[in-house]
Amino acid sequence: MNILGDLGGLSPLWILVLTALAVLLLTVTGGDKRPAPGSSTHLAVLSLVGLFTAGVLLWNVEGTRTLFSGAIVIDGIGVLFGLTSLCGAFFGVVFAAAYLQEHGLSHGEFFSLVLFAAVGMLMVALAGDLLTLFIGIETMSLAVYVLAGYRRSSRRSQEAALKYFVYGAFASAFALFGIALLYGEVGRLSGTPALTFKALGAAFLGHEVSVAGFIGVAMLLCGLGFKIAAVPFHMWAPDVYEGAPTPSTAFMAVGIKTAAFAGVLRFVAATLIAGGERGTETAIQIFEVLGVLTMVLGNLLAIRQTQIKRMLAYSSIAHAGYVLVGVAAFIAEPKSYAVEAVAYYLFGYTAMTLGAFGVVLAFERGEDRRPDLPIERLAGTGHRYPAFGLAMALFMFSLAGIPPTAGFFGKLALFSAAVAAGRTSVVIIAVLASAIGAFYYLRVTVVMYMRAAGTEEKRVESAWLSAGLWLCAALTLVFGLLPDTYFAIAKRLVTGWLG
Amino acid sequence: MRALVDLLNRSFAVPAVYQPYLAAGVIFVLAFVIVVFAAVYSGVLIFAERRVAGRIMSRIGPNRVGPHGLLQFVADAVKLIVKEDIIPDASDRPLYRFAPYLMTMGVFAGFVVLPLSPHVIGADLNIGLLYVLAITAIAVVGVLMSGWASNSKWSLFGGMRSAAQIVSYEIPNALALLPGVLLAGTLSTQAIIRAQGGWPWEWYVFHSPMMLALFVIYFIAALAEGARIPFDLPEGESELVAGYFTEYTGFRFAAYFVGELAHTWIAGSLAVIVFLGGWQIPGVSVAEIDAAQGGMLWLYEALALAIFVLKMIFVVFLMIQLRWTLPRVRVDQMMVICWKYLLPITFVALFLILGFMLVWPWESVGGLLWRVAMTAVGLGVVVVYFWRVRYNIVAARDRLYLKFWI
Amino acid sequence: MIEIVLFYVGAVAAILGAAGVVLARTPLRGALWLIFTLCAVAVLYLLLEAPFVAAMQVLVYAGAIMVLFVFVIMLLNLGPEAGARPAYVSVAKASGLLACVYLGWRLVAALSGSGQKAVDGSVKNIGVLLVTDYLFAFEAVSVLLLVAVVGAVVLGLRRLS
Repeated sequence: MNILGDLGGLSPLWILVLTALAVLLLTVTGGDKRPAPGSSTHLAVLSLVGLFTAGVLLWNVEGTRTLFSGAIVIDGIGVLFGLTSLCGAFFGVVFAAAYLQEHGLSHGEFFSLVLFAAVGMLMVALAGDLLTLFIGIETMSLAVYVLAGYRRSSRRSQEAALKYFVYGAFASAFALFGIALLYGEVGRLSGTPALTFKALGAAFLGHEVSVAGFIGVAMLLCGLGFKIAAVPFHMWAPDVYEGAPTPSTAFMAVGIKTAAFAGVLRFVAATLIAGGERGTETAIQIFEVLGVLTMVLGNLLAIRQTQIKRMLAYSSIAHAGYVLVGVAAFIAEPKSYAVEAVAYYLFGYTAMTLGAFGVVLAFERGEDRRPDLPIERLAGTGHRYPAFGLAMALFMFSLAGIPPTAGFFGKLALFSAAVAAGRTSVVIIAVLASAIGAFYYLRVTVVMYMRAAGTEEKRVESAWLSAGLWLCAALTLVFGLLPDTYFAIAKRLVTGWLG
Repeated sequence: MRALVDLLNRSFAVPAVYQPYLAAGVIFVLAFVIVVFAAVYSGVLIFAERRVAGRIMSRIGPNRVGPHGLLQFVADAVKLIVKEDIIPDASDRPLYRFAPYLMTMGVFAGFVVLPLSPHVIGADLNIGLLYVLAITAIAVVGVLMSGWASNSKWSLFGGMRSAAQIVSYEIPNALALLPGVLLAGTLSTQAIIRAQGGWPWEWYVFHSPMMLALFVIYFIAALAEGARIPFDLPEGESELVAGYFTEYTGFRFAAYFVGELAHTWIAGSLAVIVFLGGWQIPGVSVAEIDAAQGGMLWLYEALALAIFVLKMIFVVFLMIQLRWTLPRVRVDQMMVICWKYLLPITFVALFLILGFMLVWPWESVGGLLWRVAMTAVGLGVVVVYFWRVRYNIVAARDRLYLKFWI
Repeated sequence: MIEIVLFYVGAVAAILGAAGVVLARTPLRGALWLIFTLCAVAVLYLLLEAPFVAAMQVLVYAGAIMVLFVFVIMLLNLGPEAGARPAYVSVAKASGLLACVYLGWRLVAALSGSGQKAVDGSVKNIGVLLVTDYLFAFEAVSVLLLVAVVGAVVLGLRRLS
C-alpha cells in the first residue's frame, strides 16, 4: 500500500479537514466577543474556498481508484453524489453566513461543523467498505446533531438536537449491528471475514446467503433509511427540521439525504444485485413499498401543515420516496440509467430545497424573536419583494415538478427509469402522489401572491442570502433547461461503475 | 496457573476426566491465596502507615497489641467484623450491600497478573498490563454504586468526585505506562520485566529524561487513582465526613478499607514492573535464572522476590510519606492538574520517547550513555531526598528513632 | 468442556443483564445492568480468543463510558420514571419482544454449527491490521472524535450567545 499516493488521492477529504481546522483556529483566536457585523466574512470565504477546492479536486478524478486497501473507492457514483453533497454544504455556509449574522450567533464553529459534516458525507459517498460507510455516517450525523442544536437559547433547537441525536444514535446502532452480522456472514461464506463492498459482493454473488446475512442487510438499510427519512423511520424529521436553525435544516435536508442515498446505492449494488444482474423481486418490492409509503404519507401529511418548515420537512420525506422508487428501478434494471436519474434528482432536489429554505430564512428576522413561521405570514410578500417571490415560486414549481425546472426533469427521469424497468404500477402511484404534492407547494405561491398581507413582513437584508438564492435559482433553472448536459456527464462518470 | 496445573499433573496421575475440575480447583486456590495475600498486605500496610504517621508527627503510634503493635490490624479487623452492620432505611438495599464487594473485587482481581518473582505470578496474561488497568477500572463502579445507594449527600458527592477523578486520571496513568510497553514490545508484565535488567541503568525509568518525567506523572496519577492524599477528595473528611463510605459500618466498611489499601500494591508494583526493573537481580541475567536448577533456582527466586518487594516497599513508603506531608487539593485543582498539565506533558513525552527510540536505540552507545547519565540524575534525586529527610528530622529536633526498625 | 460452560455462563449473564437494562425502574440500575452485560460480553470475547478486545471492552466501556453515564445520572439525580404510560407503549414493547425473539431464533438457527475459526485477536495482529488494512478507518475515527469534541464544546460552552 502506497500511503502517500493514497493520501494524494484523498485530497478532497483532507483539504476539507484542514479548512475546518483552520476555521476553528481562526475562531478561537478571534476572541470571545459577540461577532461584530461583517467580522466573520473571512471565515465564510475560507470555508467556501475549501469546499470549492475539494469539489474541483473531486471533479478532476479520472477513472476508478481504490485507496487504503479498499476502504475508499473514488469512482463515478462517489464523485456525482459527493459533488452534490459539497454543493449542499456550500449553500449551507452561504445561508448560514446570513442567518448567523442576523441572529448574532457565533460563526466559526458552525462553518467548521458544516465542513466536518461534508467530510463525513464524502466518506459515505466514497466508501469502499462498510467501516468507512459507518464512520462517514457518524461523522456527518454528529456534526449535524450539533448544528440542529446550534441555537442554544431556543428550546425548540435544543429539543431538535436531542431528538435527532437519540433517534440517530439508535439508528446507528442498528446499522452497526447489521455491519457486524454482514462481516460474519462474509467470513462464513468466503472463508475470510472482510468489510469491503467488493468482498461483500463476491460473497453474496457466488454463495447461498443465510438469514443472518439478510438480517444484516435489513438492519443496515434501517440505519440508512433513518438518515434519508424514509417512512417507517421518518418520525424525527418534522420536529427536527422545524426546531433546528434554518441553515442547519437546509443543509441536513439535502446533504445527509444525498450522502445516505449514495451509501444505499453502493450497498444495494454490493448485496441485492447479483453481479450487475437484476435483483430479486422481493428486494425490488421492499424498496417500492417503502418508496410508495414514504411519498404518499409525506405528501398527505404535508398538506395539513401550517408551519412552512414542517411542510418542507414532510416534502423532503416525500422526495425521499420518489428517489426510493428510482433505487427500486436500479435494482430491477441495474444497467439502465436509474443511477443517473437518482443522481440528477438529488442534485435538483438539493438546489430547490436549499432555495426554499433560503427564502424561509429571509423572513426569519433576528429582532422579532418569533419561534415559528406559519405559511400565512408570507402573505403578500410576493408583491413586496418581487425577486424573492419569483425565486420562491420557482422553487415551489420545481418541488412540485412543473416544467421547465430541475424538479420536473428529475421526476421524469426517475419515473421513466422505473417504467423502463417494467414497474409501471408504482409510477402511477408516484405520479398521483406528486399531484397531491403540487397542491401544497402551489398553496405557498398562492399565499405569497394572492393573499392580502395582514402585517408588513420585513425581510433579512444580506448580500449572502441574495447571492445564495440567485445561485440556487440559477441551478434549478439551468439544470432544468439542460438536463442532457448533466446526464451526459453522469453517464460518463457512472459507466463501468458496476464492473 | 498453567505451571501449577502441569506440576500437579506431573506429581499425580490425574485422569483426563478430572482435568477441568483440577483447573477449576487451582484457579479457586489461587484466587483464595491472592485474596488472603491482599488482605494481609492491607493489614500490614495500615500498621506501617500508622507507625510512619506517628514518626512523622513525632508521636509513637499504635504499639500495644502484639509486639510493637504489630497485631493492631488484627484487632482492628476483629473490631470491624463484630460491629453492627447498619443499612440505612432509605438506601437502595441490594446495591448498598453489593457495592463494597464490587470495589474490592476490582482491586483484588488486579493482583492476578502482578508478578513477585520469575515464577510467582497468578497468571502471566499476554495483555497483562491492559488487564490490570481494565479490571481496576471496575472498582470505580463499586465506589459510584455505594455513593448512590447510600442515599446520602456526602456519599453522593464522594462517589461523583471519585468517578470524575478516576476516569480522568486513568488516562495519564495508562499513557505513562505505554512507553514501557513500547520499549518491551509486549503487554505481558513478566515480559516487560524480562526486557529490563538488574542494574539501575537497565531500568526503563532511566531510559531517557522523558521516562523519568513519566515516572513522576505515573506516580501522581496512581496516587489519584487510589484516592491517596493529596487526591483523597472522594473521602475528604473535612467536607464529606468519609465520602462514599460515610454510611457504611462493620465488615463492608472494612472491605472498602482493604480495597483502598490493596490498591497501593497494584500502583506500586506497576511502577516497579514498568519503570524499576521488576524482580531483576543485578548481575544475574534472565537466561541464567531460566537455566537455574534446584537450589540455585530457589535462591534466585528468593532473591528476586526480595528485590521486588524492597522496591515495592520503597514506592509505597513514598506514598505513605506523602500522605502525611501534603495538603489535599481542591476539586478544580485536581481536574486542572490532570487535564491541563499531566495529559499534555504525557503526550509530548510519548512522542519524544518515540523519537528517542529511533535516534538512540536501547542497545546503542548513545542509549547507554543516556541511561547512565539518567541513572546519575536519579541517584542524585535519591540522595537529595534522604538528605532532606534527615535535615527535617534535625530541624524538628527529633531523634532518628529506628529502634523498632532495626 | 470448560469453554462451553464459560460460554453459557457468559451468554446467560449477558442476556440477563440486557433484560435488566430494559426492565430496571431507575436509570441508575439500568446503567449498572449495562455494565454487567458489557463485562459478560467481555468474557465471550475472551472465549473468542480476543483478549485485547475483552480488556478494551472492560476498560473503555465498563470502566470509563459507563462511569460517565452513571455520573451524569447521579448529577441529574434521575429517579424512577413517573407518570402513566400510554397504552401503545406496551403494545410496542410486546411486538418488539416478539420480533426480537423471532429474529434471535432465526439468527441462532442460521449461525449454529457453522464452526468458524476465530480470527487472530492478539494485540499484535490488531495493531498490524490497524495500520494496514484498516488504516483509513483508524485515521477517520480521529476526525469523528474531533467532531464530537467540537460539538461538545459548542453545546456546552458557558457563553450563551
